[in-house]
Amino acid sequence: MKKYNIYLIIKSAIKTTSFMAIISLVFILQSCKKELDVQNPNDPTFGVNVTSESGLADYAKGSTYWNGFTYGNGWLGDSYFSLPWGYHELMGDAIGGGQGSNNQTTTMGVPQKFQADPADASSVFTNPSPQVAIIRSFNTSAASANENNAMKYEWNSMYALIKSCNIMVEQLANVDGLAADKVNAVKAWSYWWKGYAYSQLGSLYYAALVVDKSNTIFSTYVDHNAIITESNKNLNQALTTLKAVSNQTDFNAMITRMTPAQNQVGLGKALTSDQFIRTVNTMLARNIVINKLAPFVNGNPNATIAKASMGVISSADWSAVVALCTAGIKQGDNVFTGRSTAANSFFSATGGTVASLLSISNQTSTYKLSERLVQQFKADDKRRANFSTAKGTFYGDANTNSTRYTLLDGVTENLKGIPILGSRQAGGIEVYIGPTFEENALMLAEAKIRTGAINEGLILIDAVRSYQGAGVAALAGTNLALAPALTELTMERLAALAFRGLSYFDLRRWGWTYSIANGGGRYGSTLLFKNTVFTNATIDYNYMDFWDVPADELDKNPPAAGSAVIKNPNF
Amino acid sequence: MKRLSLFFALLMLSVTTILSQKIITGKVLDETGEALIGANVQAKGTTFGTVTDVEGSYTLTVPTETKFITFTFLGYATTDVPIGSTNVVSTILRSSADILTEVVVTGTGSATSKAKIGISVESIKGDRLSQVAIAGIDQALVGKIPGAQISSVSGNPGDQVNIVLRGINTVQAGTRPMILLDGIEIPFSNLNTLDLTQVERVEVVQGAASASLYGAQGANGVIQIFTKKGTKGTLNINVSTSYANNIYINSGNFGKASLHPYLTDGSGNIVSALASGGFKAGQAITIDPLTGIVPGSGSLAYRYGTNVPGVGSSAPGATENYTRYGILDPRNIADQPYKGSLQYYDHFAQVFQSAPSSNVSLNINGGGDKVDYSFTLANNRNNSALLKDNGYLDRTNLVANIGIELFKNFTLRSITNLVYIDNTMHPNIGAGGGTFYGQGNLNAYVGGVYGFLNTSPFFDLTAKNSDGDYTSYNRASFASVNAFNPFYRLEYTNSDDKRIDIIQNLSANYKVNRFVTLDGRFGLSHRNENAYWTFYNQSLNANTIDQGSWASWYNGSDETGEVDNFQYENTKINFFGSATVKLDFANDLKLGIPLQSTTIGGYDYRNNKYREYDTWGQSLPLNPPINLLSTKQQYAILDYVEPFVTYGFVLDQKFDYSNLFGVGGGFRTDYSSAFGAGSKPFTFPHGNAYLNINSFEFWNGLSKSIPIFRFRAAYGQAGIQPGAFDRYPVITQQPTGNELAYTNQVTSRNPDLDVEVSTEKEIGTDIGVKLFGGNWLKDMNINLTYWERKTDNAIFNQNVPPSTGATKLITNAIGLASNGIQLGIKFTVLTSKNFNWDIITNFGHQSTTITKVNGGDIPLTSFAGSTSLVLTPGAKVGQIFGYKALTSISQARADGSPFIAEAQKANYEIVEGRVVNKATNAIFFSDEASSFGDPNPKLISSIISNMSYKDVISFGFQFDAVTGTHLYNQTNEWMYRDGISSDFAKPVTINGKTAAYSSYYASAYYALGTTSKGVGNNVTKDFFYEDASFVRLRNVTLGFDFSRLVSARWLKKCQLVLSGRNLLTFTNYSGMDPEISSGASNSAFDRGIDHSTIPNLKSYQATLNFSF
Repeated sequence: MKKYNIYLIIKSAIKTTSFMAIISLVFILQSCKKELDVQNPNDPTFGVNVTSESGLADYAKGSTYWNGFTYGNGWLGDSYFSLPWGYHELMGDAIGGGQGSNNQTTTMGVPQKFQADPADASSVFTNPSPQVAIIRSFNTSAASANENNAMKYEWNSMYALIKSCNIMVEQLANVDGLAADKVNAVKAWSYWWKGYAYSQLGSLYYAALVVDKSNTIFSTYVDHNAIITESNKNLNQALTTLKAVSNQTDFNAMITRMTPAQNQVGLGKALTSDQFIRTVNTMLARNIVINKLAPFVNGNPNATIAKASMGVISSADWSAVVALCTAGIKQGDNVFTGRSTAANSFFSATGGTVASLLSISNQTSTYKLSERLVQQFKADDKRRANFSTAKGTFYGDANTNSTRYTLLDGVTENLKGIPILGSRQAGGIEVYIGPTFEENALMLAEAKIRTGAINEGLILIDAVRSYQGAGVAALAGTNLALAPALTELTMERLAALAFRGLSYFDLRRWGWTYSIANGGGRYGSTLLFKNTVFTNATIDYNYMDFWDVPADELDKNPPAAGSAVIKNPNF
Repeated sequence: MKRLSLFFALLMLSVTTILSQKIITGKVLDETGEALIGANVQAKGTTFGTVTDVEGSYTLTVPTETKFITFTFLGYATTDVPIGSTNVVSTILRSSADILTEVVVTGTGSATSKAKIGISVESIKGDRLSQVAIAGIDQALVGKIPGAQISSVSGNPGDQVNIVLRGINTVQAGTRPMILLDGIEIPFSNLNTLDLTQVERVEVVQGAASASLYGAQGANGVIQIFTKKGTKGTLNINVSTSYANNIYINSGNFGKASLHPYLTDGSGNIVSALASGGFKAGQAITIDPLTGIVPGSGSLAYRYGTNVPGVGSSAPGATENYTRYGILDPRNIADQPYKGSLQYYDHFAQVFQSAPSSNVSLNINGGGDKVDYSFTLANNRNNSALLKDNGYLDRTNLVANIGIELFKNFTLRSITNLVYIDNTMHPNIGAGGGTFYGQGNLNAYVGGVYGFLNTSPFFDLTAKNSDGDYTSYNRASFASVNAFNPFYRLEYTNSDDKRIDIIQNLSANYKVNRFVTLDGRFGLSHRNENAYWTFYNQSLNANTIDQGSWASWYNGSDETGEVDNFQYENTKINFFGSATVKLDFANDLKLGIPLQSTTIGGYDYRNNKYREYDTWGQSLPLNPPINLLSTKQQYAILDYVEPFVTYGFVLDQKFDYSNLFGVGGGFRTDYSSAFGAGSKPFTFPHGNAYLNINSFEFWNGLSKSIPIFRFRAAYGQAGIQPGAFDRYPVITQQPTGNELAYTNQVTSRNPDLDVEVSTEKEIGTDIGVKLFGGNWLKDMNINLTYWERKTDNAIFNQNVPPSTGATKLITNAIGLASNGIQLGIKFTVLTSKNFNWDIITNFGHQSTTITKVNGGDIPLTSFAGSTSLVLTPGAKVGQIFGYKALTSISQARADGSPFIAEAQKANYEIVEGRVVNKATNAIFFSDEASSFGDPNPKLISSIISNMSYKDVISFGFQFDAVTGTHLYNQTNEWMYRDGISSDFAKPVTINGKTAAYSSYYASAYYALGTTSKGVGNNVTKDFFYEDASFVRLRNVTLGFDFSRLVSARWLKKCQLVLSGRNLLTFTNYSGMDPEISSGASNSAFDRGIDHSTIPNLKSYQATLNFSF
C-alpha cells in the first residue's frame, strides 16, 4: 500500500480547495440577500402608485366601480346590478325567478299567499316556504360560502365602496400638488359615494355600522334610521365641498379622470359641480321618500300598516322633499350611470344587469318579466314595445313567475323614441346607478299630490311620460282625485324607474309588501295562474321589510355594548 | 476548508501503518448466475476495497490478518465470506429479501443502510413499479408505499394523482410532496411527465422528521426518483413496445333511468300538457329538428300534478304537472318506457368510449472504464376515452444519463430529460390551458362532462340537427336545463396545447479521501407550455341562436367565438452543495471504540420563476383564417410573474456505535423571498436514533429465528412557505374598458404572516422473522411506524368583518394535528432455484384533526359547488357538513323538541332506513346541519404478489383496498333534479305499496325539513354521502421471456407481458368509480366529492420487451 506523503497531501488539498472555491463562487453569485426582495412585481401599491393625480384617479375609478359594484357578485350575472338588485327586483315583483334558479332567487320573490280570483276560493295559492323564514335560515356564514345567503351581497358591496371612499380621502395626504378643486372633486366623489352606500344600507338593513376609517373594525351597530342620517351627513358634506368649487376646469378634469370612459356616454358624462349638487339633492330626497311609509293599499291613500319597521312620512317630510327636488336633477343633467363594454367591464353586457338577464326569450331567461310590471304600462303606452308575447308563454312553478311576456333586446329590435329597458349588447343600455331626472320628478309629483297640489303632480307625471316617449293621454287638467292620482303615480314610478333598484322600496313604502293581516297587500294585479290570466288578483307578499344584519358580519364582529337591535323584531 | 483537509490528511498519515498483505481474487454472481458488475468488495474491518469488473471479477490486496471479505451491492443482501486457504473468494449475492440491507439517500443526506437510520424511508425499485398504460410514475406508485395515500382521482389523460403522505399539514398549499430527481428539486407536476421505464428506484420520506433535511418546504414529505445509469462494460439495447385498450370503469352501473313518469297518451307517447311550444294539448311531443329542443314551457309534463285535466286541482303535490316540481306529486311513477318520437339513448355509451394507448421506448446503455451512459427515447400516447374523436395526450421523452470519472474519485454526471407533450383534447373536456394552469396545481378542465350528465335521456347526443350541426343545449321545457352537448364542443372548439420540459441535472462528486466526500449538484428544470384554444364562430347554429347557449371561455357576450392563448413558463433552479465527513473512531483514530461519525454540511439554493401571459381575441369570422388577427378585438388577460427564492444551510451530525445503535441530529436554516430581504431565517431542528437489538450479544440465541429486531425514533420540523406574495399587500391592477384602474384586494394580504411549521415525532420498529426452513415461507420482514405531527399555524383565508371592505385576510389561522400508522410486511413465500415468489402487504391509516381555528370557523366551498365544508376545531379536515335524513320517527332536534309532532307520527314510516312521509313519499331531512363524519379512510392496504419461474415466466398482481372512505355523490344529486338518474326506476315500498315513486327520490334533491322544495334544492344531504370503500385489482401481469427458448446469445430478453390495470373493482359505491375525487388537485380539504368526474380507466395491455 502506498504511503501518504507530502505530495499527496498538497494534491489533495489543492483539489479540495479548488472544488470548494467553485462551490463558494456559486454561493456568492447566488445567495445575495437582496435577491430575496421580490415584493410583488405584478401589482401596484399605494406607496408607489396612489401618490399622484393620475394614480389617485385610477384608484378612485377602480375601487368605486369594481369594489363597489362588481367584486363578490359573480354567482348570478356578474355585478351589483344583476345580483343584489336582482333580489330587489324580485321583491319588487318587477321580475320572477326562473324554474332553474337556485340560491333564493326562487324563494326571494314568492309571495306568502295569493288569490288569483277574488270570487274563487279554490284559486288560492299558499307558499309552503315563506320568504322570511327561508332567507333567515340561510343567513349563516356557511350558507354565504355557498352563495346561498342572499342577505350578504348588498352589505359586502356597499362596505367595500365605503372602504374605497375612506381611503380616497385618506390618500389625499400622500398626493402632492393636487389643485384645490381637484382635491374637492375627490372629496365630493368620496362623500357622495359614501352617502350613496349608506343610503343603500340604511334602506335595506335593519341595522348597520358607521365605518369612518379604513382598516378599522367598528362594532357599535346603529339602526337603519341612524344609517340614513349618516348617509345624509355625507351627502351634505359633498354639497359643502361642491359649493366651494371655483375652478370648474380642474374639477371637471378630475371627475372625468375618475369616471370610467365607458360610462361617459349619454347622460353618463362627467358631472359639473352644479349637476353634482343636483344629484346629491335628489339623493337626499330619496333618503326621505324610500325610508318612510306612504301607504296606498287597495286604492286607499289613508291605509295604515301595522308592525312596520319605519315611520309614516309627514307633511314636513314632503315639504323637505319638495325643496330638495326643486333643487334636484333637471332634464338633461348628467347623472351617475354605468355602461357595459365588450370586455373588461365592471358589469357585462349579457349578465351584468337584471335587464340583461331578462332580455332573451322567457323560455330560457334567468329571470322572468313580471306580469305586474307590464301591467303598469297602459295599453297604448309606446314603451310597451320593450315587451313581447311572441316568444311564448313561460309557465312557472305555480307561483307568480308565470308570464306571457319577454323583455326584448331593445338594441337588436332597434327601438326608437323610448328608453330601451333591456339589452344584451355591449353598451346597449344606460344603467342608472344614482338618481335620475325621472325619479326626481316623480318624487316631486308624489309630494305635490300628497300635499294637495294634485294637478302639479300630474303635470310632472306627464312630463316624465313625455320624456320617455310613452305617448299616452296627458293627466294634467283631468281633475283626478287623490286615489286615482296616486294610482297614476304608482304606475308611472314602477314603469319609468323599472330596473333602477327602486321597485322594492316603492312597494314597501306603499304598504304592498306587508302582509294583508297588517294592512298591506297588493290588489288588482294581473296574474297568469294555471294557464289562465287573472286581472284582479290579490297578492299577500309579506316580505321582511328591513333585513337582519348578515351573519358574515355578526360572526366576525359581534355587536358591542350599546348596539342597536341587529335582527328585525317585526318579523 | 484548506486547513480542514490538511488536518484530515495528517490524520490519515498518523493512522497509516505498513502491513503485510495478500491478494484475494474472486467472482460475484447473482442468483441466476449473471455476473454482478460494480459490486463492492471490501476486506472486513479495513478500508481495503474495490469493485467488481464487467465479468463480475475482482482482485483485491488485503492485510494478511483479514478473515472475511464483505460483498455489498444495492438491492442485494450484504454477505461476509471467510477467506479460505486458496485466497479465492467468490460468492452469489441473493437479492435482498430483507429490505433493511437497502441503502437509501433521501432524508439521510448520504447513502446509508436502512439498518442504520432512525427515520423511515420507503424505497421501491423501478422494476417493481407497475408498467401502467399511462406510463406515469405517479400512477405506478399507487399502493406501493406503506402508509401513503396515493389515489388515482381522475381518468383524464395527464391528470395528477392525489398524494397524502402523512396527514394534512397545510391547508393553503395542498398535500403535494416535494419531488426530487436525482437529488434536485423539480416541480410536482413533472412527476407524471417523466418516463417510467427510466426509473431505477424511488425513495419516499413521508414526514417532517425525515424531510427536515429539505427545510422550509419539505413538510409534505419528499419523493425522490433515481434514474437508470448505464452498465459499465457492456452495450445494452432495450426496446419496449406496448399497446393498451382503455375503457372507463363503471363499477356502480351508474346511468340514466330508462323508464319515465311523464304524461303520456294511450299509446305511451309523451304528450304535451297544454297548448304550448306549437304542440296542442295531448299531442305527442317531438324534438324540433332545427333547434334540437322540446319547445314550450307548458309542453313536457309529469303524468300527475295539480293541473292535469280530469284529475283535479288539489293534489298532494300542490304543484302543476308541467313544472319541474310536478315530480313531487306522489302519484308519479317512473314505469313507462320511452316510445315513439322520444326514445331512450344511453348517453354513457355515446360519450364514454374505449380508447387505445401505446408506449414505445428505446434505450441504449453501456459504458467503458471511466464512462457510463444511458440514452432513452420513449413515446407514450393516450387517446381520450371521453368522446371518440376528442384527441389524445402524447408524450415523448428523451433522456441522456452520462457519468464520467474525470480523474480518480471525481465523477461528473449529467442527466438530461427532454419532454415534449402534445395535448389535442378539446377545451372543457381535457385540454390543457386556463389561468394558472401552468403552475402545475390544476388538472385539465373537464367541466364539459357535467352537461351530458344532465341531459334528458330522450335526446340523442350524437344526432345532428337539420342543418347538419350538433346542438349545444338540448333543453326540454323545465327538464334538461343544465344540458350541454359535448359533441357540440367537438364541432365548435379546438385546442393546441404543446409543452416542452427540460430537466437538466449536473452533479459532481469528489471523494477527496476516505473521510471527505464533496458533492455538488446543479439542476435546472424549465417548462414551457403554450395552449391555444379556438372557439369557432357559432352564429350559424340554430340551437345556439335560439337558446343563447354557446361554447366559450372568455367570451360571455355572444356566440361569435374567440381565440385564447395561454403562455406558461416555469423555471426552477436548484443548487445543492455538500461536504460529508466520515470518521471511524476505531480504525481511523485508534480510539478503540467502534464509533463512526458522519457529518454533513450543505448549502441549498432554489430559485423558481413562474411566468404567465394570457391573451384572447373576441369574435371570429365564419371563414378562415381563424387566428388572433382575424378576431375583432384583442385583450391581455394576464401578464404575471411569480419569483420565489430560498436558500439555506443544513448541518447534520450522526454517530453510529458499531451496528448497535446510532443517534443523529442537526438543523436546517432557510431564508425565503416570501419574507423579503430583511427577514430572519427559519431554523428547523431534527434528530433521530436507532437501536439494533439483534446486534447485541444477548440476542444471539434468537437471531436464528428473529434475525432483525430494531427500534427507531425520530423528531423533526419542516416548514411550508406562504404563497410568494401573501405577505405583500398591494392593490390590484384592473383593466376597465380600454383603461386601467386600481382596486382594493378582496382578500387582504398579511405582512405578519409566518411560515407554517410542521413538527413530527415518529417511532418505528423493523422485525425480520425466519419462519420455516426449506424453500417455503422462509422469512418475513415487518416495518412498522407510528407518527404524530402537528402544525400550529397553518395559513388560510380567514373571514373578516365585511364592514371592513374586505371579506378575507390571509392569516396563520389553523392548528392541525395528525397521526397515523404505516405497516409494511414482506413475505418470502418461496425461494428455490427456479421459482421465486414474494408477497408484500402495505397498510396505512392516517387522520388529521383541526385543533384550533383562530378567529372562528371558516366555512368554505368545495370544488363541487353546493357541497359545504367547514373548518372547525375538533373536526377532521375535509369533513362535509350537510343535512341528514331522520332515521327515527321520534327523533329530536338539538333543543330536544321532536321533529315530528306526536299527532303527525302516524303519517311517517321508515323506508330504506330513513323517515318518509307516507302521503307525500318525501324523505324527512333534518334542517339542522351537522357533520357527515370523518372523511379519512379507516384503512388503506395493498397486497402485491410477484412470482417468477426461471426468469422465463413472471406473474404478478396487486390488490388495493381502501376501507371506511366516503364520497359525496354530487353527480347523482344533480341527476336527481330532473329525475334522470337510474335510481328513479328502482321500486321502493312506501305505505305498503311498491313502485318507483319519483316523489320519493326527488325529495332527496328538493326537500328539507318540512318544506318540499326551494330551500332543499341541491343542498348537501347525507342521502348522497356514500361508503366508497373498495377493493381493486390494480394490476395483474403475466410475462413470458422467449429468449430462454432460443439460442441466440445476442438476445438477452424477448419478453411478452400481458397486463391489466383496474380490471376488477368491488364496491358498494353507486357512482362510476369509488376512487375518484373532483376536488382541486391535491387539495387539503376538497376531497371526497364526486362531481362530474372522469372515472379511472380499465386497461388491457400487451407489451413486448427486447434486450440485446
